[in-house]
Amino acid sequence: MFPAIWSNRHAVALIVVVATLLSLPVLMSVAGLPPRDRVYSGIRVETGTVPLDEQQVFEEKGPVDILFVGSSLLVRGLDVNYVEQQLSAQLGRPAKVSRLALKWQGLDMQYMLMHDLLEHRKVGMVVMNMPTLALIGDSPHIQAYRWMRWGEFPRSTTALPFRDRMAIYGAEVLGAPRQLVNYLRPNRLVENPQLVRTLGSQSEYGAVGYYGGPFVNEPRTPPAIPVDSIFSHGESDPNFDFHGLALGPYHQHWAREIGNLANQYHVSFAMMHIPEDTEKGMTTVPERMYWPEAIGIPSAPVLGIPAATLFRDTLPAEVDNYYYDQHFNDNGRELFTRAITPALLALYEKEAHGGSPQ
Amino acid sequence: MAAPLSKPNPLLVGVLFVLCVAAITLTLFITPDSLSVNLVYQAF
Repeated sequence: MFPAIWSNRHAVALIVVVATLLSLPVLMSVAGLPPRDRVYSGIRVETGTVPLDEQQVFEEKGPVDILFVGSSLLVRGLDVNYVEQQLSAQLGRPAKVSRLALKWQGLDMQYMLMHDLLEHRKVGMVVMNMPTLALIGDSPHIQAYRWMRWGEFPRSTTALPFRDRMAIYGAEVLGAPRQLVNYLRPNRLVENPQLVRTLGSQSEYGAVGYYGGPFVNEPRTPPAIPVDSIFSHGESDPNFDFHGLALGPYHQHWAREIGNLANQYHVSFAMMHIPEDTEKGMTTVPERMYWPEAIGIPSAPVLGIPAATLFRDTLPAEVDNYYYDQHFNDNGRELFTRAITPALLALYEKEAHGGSPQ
Repeated sequence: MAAPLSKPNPLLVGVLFVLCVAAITLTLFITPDSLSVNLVYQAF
């Protein structure tokens, strides 16, 4: 039988290959990582609104009034342009509202997006959508191997248990060969502004019916909802249920780090629930945990509208017409954006002037 | 004609074995969701 290893030279060659691959994240860190903006352009556009994220973090300048950070639920759930228009009208000057998001949920990913932007731009208020039950497991984000690089965010990972740090290192090993290519030829940026906007809007999901069904245009004017009822008033607020399936230790760690990040940059922080299709008929906003406690900022507001309230004027059989799967299509996005915006504006007003949001 | 094969140093084979075990162990820490979803989306 032909031996697997046929000489000392062959053994040494295999050792060098395997050892290099395993230690590549560390070696690259020592040699000097490629610029961080190239991390974003190395993420496939099919997996998020990455070119828009990259542009907002690294290319656009100037302060951001409200920054939304989240997952695909946020991309399809909130029309940022509408919020920006309304905020501009309220402030009497052009406002800047930005959104950073990748597909799939994970507070490690949301920490990374928030961290990168806060390092580059001044932000007035951060609003984040927190994980729902769609976040399964307790491990690094599905795309973590694309954006986690050894030596970055070191302070935020030191408190993680060994198993989680190994999971992160595993992701870094997986992604390092692709990151290595940046030394030879830097990732190209999407430079066409129209294409950046198109990729950032995920508009291909706008006029899509529920799970492949026909798209039906529905009324998009929300019912009258008192702004005060959109804010949670503590853990026992009757409009909210904060006692869902708690996050695992890994994501709870990142929740605390997100709170620390907000404190470090002295930025106002709030959380916003975006209804999923499974919430049809619910009279409370289902949350996995009491987030102000999880992030370590007891005063952080949580905004949410129970699905039963949002769809009060909609026939039960027609609620599905506002979704294309668990995400909103254009019907739902416009309805929800119009419903939640008054509360966001009130919150911004309060954070800017120290008044009451109600 | 092929060069005659020589027996590799057991120490080198041992080092290689340890490295392979380390690599396999590391993959166990990577979430199966991550691998399967990325394969579906051909995201590699």
